[in-house]
Amino acid sequence: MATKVHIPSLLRRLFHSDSVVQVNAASIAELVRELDKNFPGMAERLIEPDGSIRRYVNIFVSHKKERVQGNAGTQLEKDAEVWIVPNIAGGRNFLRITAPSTRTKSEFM
Amino acid sequence: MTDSNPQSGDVLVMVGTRKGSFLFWSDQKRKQWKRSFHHEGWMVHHMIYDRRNNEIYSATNGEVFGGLVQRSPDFGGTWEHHNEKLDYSSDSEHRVRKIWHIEPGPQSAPNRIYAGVERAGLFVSDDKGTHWESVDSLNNHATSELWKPGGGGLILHSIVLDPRDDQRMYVGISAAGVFRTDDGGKTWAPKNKNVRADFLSDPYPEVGQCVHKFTLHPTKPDILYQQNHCGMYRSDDRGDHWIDIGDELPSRFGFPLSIHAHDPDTVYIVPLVGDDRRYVADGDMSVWRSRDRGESWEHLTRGLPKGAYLTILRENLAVDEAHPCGVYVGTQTGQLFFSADEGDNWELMADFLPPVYSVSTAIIA
Repeated sequence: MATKVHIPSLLRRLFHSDSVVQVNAASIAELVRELDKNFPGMAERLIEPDGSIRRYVNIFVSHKKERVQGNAGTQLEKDAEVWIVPNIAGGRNFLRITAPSTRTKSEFM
Repeated sequence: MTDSNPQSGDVLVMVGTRKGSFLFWSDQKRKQWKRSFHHEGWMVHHMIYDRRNNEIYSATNGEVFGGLVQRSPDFGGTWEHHNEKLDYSSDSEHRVRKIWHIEPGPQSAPNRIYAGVERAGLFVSDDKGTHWESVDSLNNHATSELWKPGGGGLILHSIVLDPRDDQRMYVGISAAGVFRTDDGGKTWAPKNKNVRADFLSDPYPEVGQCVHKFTLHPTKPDILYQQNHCGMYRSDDRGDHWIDIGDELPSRFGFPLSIHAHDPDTVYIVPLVGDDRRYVADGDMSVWRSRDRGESWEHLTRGLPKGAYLTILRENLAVDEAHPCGVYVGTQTGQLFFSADEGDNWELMADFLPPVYSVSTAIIA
């Protein structure tokens, strides 16, 4: 089963992509390579020259409680759903950031 | 291209803002402007028209997704933005965070473009921006350990080619100063003699000056003008020596600078109150013009607002090549001012734009 990837709006407009695209990937690095095949140049927006995920880019994976930052080698389960979420600067750091599918309304209050 | 796009002979004004870019165009009477909006949500630090290929380049940046050079062959109808290796190598301690300036290369290399970036560096592409290479002779210069970031970061923001000599080129780095190559980029020499760096213990170092903008006129390419953090300067010998030409000005500080399209002795600047204020003096929006290479200055205010504490950044003053020469000024509060008569009279051409980062012009080939 393909991995669903949620593309943030700034990249959607740049690459004229849908908000959700599907790729086959066993890791985040592989997912980025697959995205780049369909949208040439997208890998450069997500990955640093040393292969790590760009600073300020968060990857949320449905089966992981914590967001992924930096480590593009993170493995993906077969039915994973992935959100690419830009950092939002400012405000106080009182929310514990978790994957969207596991958040509850109270966490945002 | 459709009828709603710029046509050959039109004046094109490219405006980069914090939240996208705008193209304005008109016939050379410049009475009625059409506009289009591009790069929504992206910061655009600079745009330039490449007359050699009838294309537009855009220095497009995001805090999260980084900097990229975009190229449009159809005046914004489509944008190409696949940039390979527009970054330092994986083993470098540096990363390219933003693109600050794009400059078309010489006529002899019609697909070459240069990009000035943060962390300060020069990159070159020979295929219109698809593949890039770091100019290591500059980016790893022997003085680079002495380069310190200015208010906008450690950035290479000015790239100036000598139109007579493909081997000669200049760059401006904040805060390092002006560098010149005479051998096509193999070697670079600092060119900051007599330029002040009041913020350093040695006010006249070899490097460390905070150049804000510099340029030359293609018909007198040995003469350079520089608006610096610490003064307004001219060089009559390709940067070997600089002369202070700012005695009559209300402030030594300012960002933008432009030379009249048809008169190489006429220069425009917008001085700002210095350091932590950075707005026009006394809330009196004005452009200053010298018609004698900085020996004397005129204060141009007709049509410009008073009680307006405006900030004008480094790429926000441009001239066009129409007759008479048009002058444009963008503000950090989203105004675009325009003079159709060389700066004598001004009007508000656009308002309520996002903060304006750059203004540049062209006559469409």
